[in-house]
Amino acid sequence: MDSYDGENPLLREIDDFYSEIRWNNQFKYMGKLPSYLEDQINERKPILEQNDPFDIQEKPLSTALIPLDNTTRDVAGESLLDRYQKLITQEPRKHNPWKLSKVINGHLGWVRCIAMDPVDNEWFATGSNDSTIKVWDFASGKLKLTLSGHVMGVRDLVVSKRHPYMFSASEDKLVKCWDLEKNAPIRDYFGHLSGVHTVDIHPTLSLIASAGRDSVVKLWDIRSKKAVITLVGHKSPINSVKCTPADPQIISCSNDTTVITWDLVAAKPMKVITHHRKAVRDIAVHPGEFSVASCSTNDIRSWKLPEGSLLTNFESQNSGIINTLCVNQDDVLFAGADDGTLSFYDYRSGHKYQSFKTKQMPGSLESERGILSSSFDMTGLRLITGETDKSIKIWKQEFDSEFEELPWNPILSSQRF
Amino acid sequence: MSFTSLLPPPKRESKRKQVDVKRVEAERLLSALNKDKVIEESIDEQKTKSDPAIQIASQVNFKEFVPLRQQNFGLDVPLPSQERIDETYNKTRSFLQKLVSKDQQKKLSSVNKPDTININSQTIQVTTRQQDPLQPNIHRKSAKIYTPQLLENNAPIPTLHTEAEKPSKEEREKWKIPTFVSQWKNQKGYTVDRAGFGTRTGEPGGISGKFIELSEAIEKVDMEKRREIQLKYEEKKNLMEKEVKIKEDKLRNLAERARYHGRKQDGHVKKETSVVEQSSRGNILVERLKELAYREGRDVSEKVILGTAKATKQPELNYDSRLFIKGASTQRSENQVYDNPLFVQQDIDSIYRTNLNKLDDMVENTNDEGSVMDRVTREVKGGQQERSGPVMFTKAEDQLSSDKKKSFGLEKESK
Repeated sequence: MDSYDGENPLLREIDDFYSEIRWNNQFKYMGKLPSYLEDQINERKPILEQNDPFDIQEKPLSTALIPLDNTTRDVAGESLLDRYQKLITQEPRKHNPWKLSKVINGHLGWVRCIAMDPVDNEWFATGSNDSTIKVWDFASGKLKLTLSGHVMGVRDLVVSKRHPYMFSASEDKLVKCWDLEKNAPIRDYFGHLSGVHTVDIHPTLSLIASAGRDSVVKLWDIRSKKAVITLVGHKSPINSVKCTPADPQIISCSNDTTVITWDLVAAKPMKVITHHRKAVRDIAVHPGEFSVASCSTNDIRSWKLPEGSLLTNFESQNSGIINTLCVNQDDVLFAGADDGTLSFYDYRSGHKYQSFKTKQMPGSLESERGILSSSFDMTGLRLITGETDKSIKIWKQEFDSEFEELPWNPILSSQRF
Repeated sequence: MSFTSLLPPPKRESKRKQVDVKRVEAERLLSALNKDKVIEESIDEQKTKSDPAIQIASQVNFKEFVPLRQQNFGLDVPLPSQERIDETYNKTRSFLQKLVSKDQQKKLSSVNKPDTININSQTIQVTTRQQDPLQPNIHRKSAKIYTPQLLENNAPIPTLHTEAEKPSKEEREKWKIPTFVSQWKNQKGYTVDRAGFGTRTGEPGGISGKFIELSEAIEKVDMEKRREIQLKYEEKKNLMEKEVKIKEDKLRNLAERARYHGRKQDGHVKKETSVVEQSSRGNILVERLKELAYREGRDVSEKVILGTAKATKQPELNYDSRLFIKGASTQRSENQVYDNPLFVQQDIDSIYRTNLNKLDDMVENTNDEGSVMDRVTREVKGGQQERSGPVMFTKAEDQLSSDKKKSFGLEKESK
């Protein structure tokens, strides 16, 4: 199908069928007036003109609405046809498969967060429910350090590119600043009313953003430990906060099913994205382009950034609860599910090209198979996952020519809104 | 219809508010349809214009629901340019500085010019306390911080689980606890296994070693007693034998003496008879006696005639004394301690019970003595004349007091 002309009967048929389905999904409810309005209209009419109920049921579309519907239908139909044609002519990019390369044990609780050394790519830090942070050598997988200072589980970690600092957010309501030269906590950011779930460093300003169960995003001045700005707008615990260098400088996702892009100066939401139906558990910023991906149960989407418009619907219909997302510069999006499924997507097309269950550790229960955190290394060739069975697993991209990707079915994914 | 739809609505406010919003919208639409109320309509129009939700809804486009990348996977979303980054950086930085400077100005002003408050002609100065910026953290750690072993060599090993195997049917049976059986109504005749004997398996449970000790001790005493009895019996037998011997000797002496005297009366010569003569004479006697016996139809040996014959030896018979004990008819075993149950003769069931039949009889034959009730009470209390059961002991004081009472009662009755 190189080119599309309106004369092709098969395509025309498919188009008609598809646009009808979309039309029904989107605008069918508009065809019927609410009963109280119907009554009012009927009252206005003279008795002779008033329809008997059977007549109304036969043609439910009220005459006033029909022309308006027709116009919208045309517009929608055209765009749909266009879209469909484009979709079937395109192919997603090929990616290499991923395989398990290393398993590291050492934590005594769930491994809730992973942060890669952004400068040298030599070590990574993991935070766990056992309230410790452990620093591991990336190449050998050996433990370098155990940092203790939090009273409750560590929920998020971030290592700064510009300072020798690491920030950790914990359920004990504190954000801690660790000096990586002294290997000791040097500052506490005190002010959250409940457990802190997430923390991120502003890439240009000396600010950190943190958010948690008290459903506000707080921006802290790193040096003076003061909460400079508090962003209020979420209605439920916030699961993740990310900072970008340009507007919107802060993006957050919450259990109230929304993703909010914040206007920092006005301290107001720029855009509230309400496409998700369930709690949005994680967001991941693409390192190579200005877009962000968000995930909720059975739903992964990516958003174009300054304006927050929908970029891609990922093929994630039956993926279950997704705990963590991460994207590498090679356009691979990883989604770790709560049932231990690792799924790899092509970031641009939304095509799921590989999906498999994580390796069960000997001695772990079946209920302990879940992926809680993930991070690509700086090269994007390795993936680190932290899991419910207290292990850290390192996955490797393999250059395997015999690997067969999962089938690409564009119609299914394009039908989701 | 779901089950939850039958439940009352939640008490939280938010739901009601939503409903309210819906109702308000409906009202608004209805009023909009009403052309008669022109003024209200205009107000509503203003409202709709100002309502942010409606404004947003009017702006929402169908295209916004269409993923942008579906048309072109290669759609570029470039990272923000350095200029834009700088621009936002400057903008935000200036804003933040403004924020901070505002705070500082407030502080400075408050430091320089302390606020004064006048209350009832008293002026109070309000100043903020100077604080050391390098002061250590005010918020103290309230909880103990978990510090793991910091030695990397013996790092803690995460706990691992083993897959639990499903128990077999037998094992499940073992763990089953039998349902509680009432002590009062036991119609099905269940028994409570107190000694720890498994009713199902038949294995002995834990029996205390004292039981074994007791039975051993009893057996030991039993054996000792029996040996004593045996010795006594032998002693008695010996004595009897001796007695019998003495008697026999006496008799023989008597007989011999009598024989001697008889010979004396026959003649003097007999005294100086030789041994040969004696024997010949004995032979004559024997022959004579033989003749006598023969005539009577008896055969008598010489020994009998001479009185030297002994009674034929009968086999010794040792009767077990237990044969003569009353309960010997019951089956005995080695381990049995008692040969009789304790209350064989008595009717166990009625030991502690008043004999109602007897009472009835007594009531019938009341004419003999005293009032009926007196006798009945006496019977019920276990009257002293007819007691059918073990004696019930009471404390001395109680008895005294009851005696007094009794006497009092008797006095009253006699009066």
